[in-house]
Amino acid sequence: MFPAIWSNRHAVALILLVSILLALPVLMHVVGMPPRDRVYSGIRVETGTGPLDEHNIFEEKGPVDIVFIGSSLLVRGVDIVYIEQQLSQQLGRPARVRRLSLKWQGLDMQYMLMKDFLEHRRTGMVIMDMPTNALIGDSPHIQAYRWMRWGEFPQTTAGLSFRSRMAIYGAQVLGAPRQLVNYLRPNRLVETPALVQKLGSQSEYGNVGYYGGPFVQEPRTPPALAPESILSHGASDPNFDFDGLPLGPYHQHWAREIGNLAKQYNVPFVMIHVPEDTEKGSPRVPERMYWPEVIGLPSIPIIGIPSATLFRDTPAAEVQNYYYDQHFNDNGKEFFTRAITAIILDVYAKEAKN
Amino acid sequence: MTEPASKTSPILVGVLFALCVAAITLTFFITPDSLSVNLVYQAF
Repeated sequence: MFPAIWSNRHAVALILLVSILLALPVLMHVVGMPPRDRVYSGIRVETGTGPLDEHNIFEEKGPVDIVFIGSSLLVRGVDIVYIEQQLSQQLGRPARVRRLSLKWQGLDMQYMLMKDFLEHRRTGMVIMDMPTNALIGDSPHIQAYRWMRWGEFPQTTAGLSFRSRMAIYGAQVLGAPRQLVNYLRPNRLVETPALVQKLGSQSEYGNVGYYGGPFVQEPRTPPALAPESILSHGASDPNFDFDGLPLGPYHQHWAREIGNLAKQYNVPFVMIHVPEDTEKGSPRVPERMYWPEVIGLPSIPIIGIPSATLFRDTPAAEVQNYYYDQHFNDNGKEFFTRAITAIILDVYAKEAKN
Repeated sequence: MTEPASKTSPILVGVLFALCVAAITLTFFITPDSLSVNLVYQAF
């Protein structure tokens, strides 16, 4: 049997290899490559809307009226095109409404998207959805190794625990070789504008039935709701339940940083709740925490409709036809968007920076 | 039959061993959710 390491030269080569791999995030930061705008296209297209995020942040220019930031619940819950049309009518000029998101939940991911966007584009208002109980654990976002790079958020990670910072560095070590390859050989697939838009809308889920069942077309006109009734009025609002499972310290840290970012850029900040299938029949909007306190912006509006109110005219057995799993299909997306558009336009008129 | 003797410096072997321990330790901090979901989706 031959020895695993057969010479000093072999040992030195292995030491160099392992050292470079472990230190690659730092080395890439020191050398200054690849540029930030290459991070998103390295995200595998099947796992999210990264190419559209990259387009919205780095490629398209000019101010934006409203940017939605969140998880896949937001992608499948809010019809950006419809809101843009309605806002254009209200403003009497072409409005710009954009959305940034990746699959899976995490406030670190939402912080990153918001930071990159605000650094590059003047923004009238940010609307964000917050984690639901689908966010399990208290660790970096599942795709963090794709976008969280050494040295880019040095101040914002300073308040994290040693364990969290090690988790982040581990993600950076895991992702650094792929980011390097992505720089040397950019992903040509996502340069097709039509594909970027298709991936961004996750439209393949539009006409899908509930958990593999047949898709059933449903009415998409929501009940008439007074705009003020779908806006929270403080922690004790009877339409909202803010006493869910609290976030852990890691995600609460990023919640505070999101609040700091909104203050730093002086951008109006609004929250929205996209109802999941499990909320069927619920008379209150379930939130894990009272977010205005958590993020440090005590007077921000929260838009949300209890599922029982949203579907009050829908037979109970048909509510599932608005979902393909916990996400809305096109029935639900159109239904929910039409229900919230009036209040979004109202909040924009009161809060937005123009 | 005698096995071929390694001619590697024990210090170099020690350094390499320490680096491997560091790499393995780092994996314990990476969320298991992240690894499993990405493997399922072949996102690597």
